[in-house]
Amino acid sequence: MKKIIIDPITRLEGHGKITIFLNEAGEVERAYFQVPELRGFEKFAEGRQAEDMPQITSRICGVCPWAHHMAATKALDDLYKVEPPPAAKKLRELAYNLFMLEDHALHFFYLGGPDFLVGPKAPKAERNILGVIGKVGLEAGKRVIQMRKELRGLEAKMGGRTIHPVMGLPGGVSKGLTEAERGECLAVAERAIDFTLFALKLFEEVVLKNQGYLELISSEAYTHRTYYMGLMDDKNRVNFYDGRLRVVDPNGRELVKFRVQDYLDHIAEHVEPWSYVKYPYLKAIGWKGFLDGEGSGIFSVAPLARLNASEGLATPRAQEAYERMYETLGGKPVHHTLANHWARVIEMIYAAERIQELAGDPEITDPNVRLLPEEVPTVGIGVVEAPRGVLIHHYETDERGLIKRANLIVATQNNSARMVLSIDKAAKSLIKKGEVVDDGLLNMIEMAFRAYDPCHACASHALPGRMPLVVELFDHQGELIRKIER
Amino acid sequence: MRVLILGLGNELLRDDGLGIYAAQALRAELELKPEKRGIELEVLESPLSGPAILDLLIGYDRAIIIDAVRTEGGRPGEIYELDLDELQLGLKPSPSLHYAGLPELWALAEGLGLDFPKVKIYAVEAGDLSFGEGLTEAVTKALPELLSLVREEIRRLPSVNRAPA
Repeated sequence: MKKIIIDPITRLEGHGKITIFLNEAGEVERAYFQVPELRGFEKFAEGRQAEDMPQITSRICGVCPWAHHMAATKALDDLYKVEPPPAAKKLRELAYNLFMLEDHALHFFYLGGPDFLVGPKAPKAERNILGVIGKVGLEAGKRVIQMRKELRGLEAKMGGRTIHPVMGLPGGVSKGLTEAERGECLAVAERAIDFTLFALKLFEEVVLKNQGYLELISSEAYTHRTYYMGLMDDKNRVNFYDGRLRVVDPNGRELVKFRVQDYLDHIAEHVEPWSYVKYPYLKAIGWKGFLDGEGSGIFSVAPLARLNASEGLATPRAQEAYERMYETLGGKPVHHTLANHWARVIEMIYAAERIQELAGDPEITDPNVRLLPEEVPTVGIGVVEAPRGVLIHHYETDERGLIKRANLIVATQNNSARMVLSIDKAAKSLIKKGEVVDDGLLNMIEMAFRAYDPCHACASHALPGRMPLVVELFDHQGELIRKIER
Repeated sequence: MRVLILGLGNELLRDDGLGIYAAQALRAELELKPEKRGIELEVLESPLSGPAILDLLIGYDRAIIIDAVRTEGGRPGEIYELDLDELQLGLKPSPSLHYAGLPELWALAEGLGLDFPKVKIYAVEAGDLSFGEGLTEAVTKALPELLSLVREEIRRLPSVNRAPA
């Protein structure tokens, strides 16, 4: 055994890798961002019981166990063609909104915080969590921790376990909600609504009153006119748990609204020769390369895309904030990547209000929370809105319910083509004639990166390691000429 | 004194399951032979990453973390023992908090004035981190030594009189 000082190590190989190709004149030909995917999972799933998928898939991500748990559970409903009783659906949606709020809150404060609450021009040493605390104050910082703790406490209660939820079953949930627990949810919901309105106020005070920030949000460098996709209810309002997938074009007009079971008719995947990464695009429009605009099938998911794809939000205070965002940024859709932070705080309000609505519904304590599946299984497809966007689970089984084929489309993958657009724009504006502004390039890329909040923590967690952002520059002959790392 | 033994990892990723298996083994032992000496020992396993780990650590006086790692040039099965304060990484900017490591979490806790435990880390160099169950041979062989190191660390914890509630 030896004692060592571990210098930044990582177990997340190949993650956050940016590749930039220059032409003969030293100008950027094309910049790419590699989104790692869940390689090997499909094989791992083969031959396993479909019923185990909500437990297995919730273990593949250290950040979003609930998103996978819920998408898998819904895929099982579909596999066994069983419709959960109303109380079961409400319980699932309630638990899911607790998770969405918890995750969004974390990112709004600690992830977007360094860019917005502290500021893009602040000295580098302050652009971190401590800088955020310095800006919002110790009390606010503690409030975030406290709120998350309360939300996680309720999740654990409803999920049956602290970490891996065991709530979802085909046709329902494993247990109902007691009156006392319902009261607890209502109490937490009230504090959560206060908390989210406080977050919005902070955003308005720090960001919206600062002309420089507004200009940055709407700057061309962070703007891409793409299609947007999100899960919507019957009235085209965002719903994180259920509905149909709606796609709007760059002008905000509906292109299509479909059941997730038909996703293969609408979404195809493009493969680039230089990478194993697949880039999902809209089949109806086609793959036209890494371009934005109406003629390109690239689409985007996650908070801003959801709001863009919707006609409103189902709860009053969130709807108010939604309208204000679109008024301020010049109407719908908003194409500015950095507005994702704003959209995220609006969704936090929605989640908190939705928790209150669901917990306020007396039917939610109905003990009838499961229907037993009776159909012979063949194919099951389920979808939820993960915090980072549309997440699809697709299983095919034999008649005993053993997985023959599993396909997961994770949110970050859905955003991968648009992320390439962002990286490309950043690279083109900061690399001229082979000259690179190292720090400027990394800063700009990181800001875009954080706005999408791509999650590569699937199947991983980092102990002392952190994910390095690596930029590699290749000349026109394919020779590696520079490597910038942070 | 409240002490947490935290096994980090994911048992669906071969050697990444190390922390989970180690924690399970230690829990079973501790249930048979509970610690006295006024030490309140808890064992947890977690696949979580980033700031979620902070939620698990807050409120303990000491924490022993067990995990699989991959270091440059490391030999699978190699055991590392280190104190968190040896990880002199500072608070470098990270592109995403998803990847925040313990030093960042520690800094966050300090910044907020939360009770962050004194952390000791036991890590084993992983061989295979692909999807699959069960540890590789090299890591399996390292497990008994790892467990005895952790047991020793538990024995080294200072005895305390039960603190008043």
